[in-house]
Amino acid sequence: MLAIPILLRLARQLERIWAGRSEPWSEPGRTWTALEAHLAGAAAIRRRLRQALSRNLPHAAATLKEELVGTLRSAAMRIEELRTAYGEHNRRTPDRCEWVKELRHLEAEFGTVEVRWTQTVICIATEPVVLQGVSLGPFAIEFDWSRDRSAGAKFFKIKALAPNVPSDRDNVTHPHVQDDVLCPGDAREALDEAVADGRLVDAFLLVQSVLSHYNPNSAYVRLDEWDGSHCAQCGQRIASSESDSCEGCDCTLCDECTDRCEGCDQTRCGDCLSPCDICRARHCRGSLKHIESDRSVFPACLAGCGRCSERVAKDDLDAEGLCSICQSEENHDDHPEAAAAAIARSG
Amino acid sequence: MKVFFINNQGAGFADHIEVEDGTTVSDLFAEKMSGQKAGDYLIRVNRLPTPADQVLQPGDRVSITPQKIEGAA
Repeated sequence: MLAIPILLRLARQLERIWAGRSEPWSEPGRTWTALEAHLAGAAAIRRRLRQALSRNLPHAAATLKEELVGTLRSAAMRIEELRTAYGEHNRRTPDRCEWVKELRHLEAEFGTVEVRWTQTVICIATEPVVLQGVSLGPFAIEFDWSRDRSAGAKFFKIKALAPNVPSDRDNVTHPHVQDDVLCPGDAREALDEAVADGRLVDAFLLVQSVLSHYNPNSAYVRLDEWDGSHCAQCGQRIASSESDSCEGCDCTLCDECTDRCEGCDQTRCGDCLSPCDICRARHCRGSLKHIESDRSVFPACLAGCGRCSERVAKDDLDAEGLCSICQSEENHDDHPEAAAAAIARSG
Repeated sequence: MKVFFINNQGAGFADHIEVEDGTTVSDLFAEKMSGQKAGDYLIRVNRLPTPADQVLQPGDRVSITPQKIEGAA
């Protein structure tokens, strides 16, 4: 509980500041002047209308009636403005006694109230906040009493006491708090009114009510992406429950960018796969064999030559299962002149 | 009789209102917060939690604050 001297000192300070902020009410003199002018005008038109009627001038009477209706309508608008001006809520700022009650009420609602004089801050702590299973920890709600009355929600700073932030947005500690500033949403107007009236407890309760609720339609980071990350291939943000990872390089992948090796069936990203130059199926890059014809080939696309047993690309074997070298040698044995000519041409 | 009524829902309201003698807290809530559930609000009379059947007295300060409000980004 705040010690009495601190309580009284703070109440005195707040009374002085809020009294200095209240706008004096001023009489709506211009509206009265306009109303009196309209009424005088209406009276004059009425006299002329009575003359027109007594002289049996129906056309003139009709025109004057129209003019009178317009003047009375304008007078009615001025009367409504005056009604609003006089009936308007006179903002009553709390006196010292009220401030003492307000501060004790703050303690009753939130427990310990901390006052930091040099920072002009009143601070309370909330209970731990858990939204849709995501634990965000408790928050300190700090009210800076020295800010200008137009500051609205910026009177408050919201500081995470045990931050649990999204992986790449460490300035977002709550779906509706960024850089320690709350976006109050539906609470904005009521919050502004409460602060202007000096109803600090109401203001703190409103802030707490926003922290206690999640609006998925307007959040700095959605809760279903809170523990998520970005796909290494397309950059899309993905929830951790929907992400996969490449078993080759361990990068994070979304559903659409996840691929598999046709040989070992392991999950791979696009950078870790390469197509076989024969069958075009995508395989782990390291599983492809680089062969003499400067191609990368999956081992299953190699076959042994029927003559020399050399393992070559399948499409390098002829119908008899011979590699190109063995084919040349066989051609040489059967047709030496043709083989020599072929060699001469290729030389 | 007059009570000071604070409604922190929507745009907020804080002013004296007239209520019938014998009006209870729940009567006032039903009238001012039609269709809403009292459990969704923090209701205080003279800054204290109060039973729903408490009869309001002249000059009482009644405040109603929603417990969950949609924030934004």
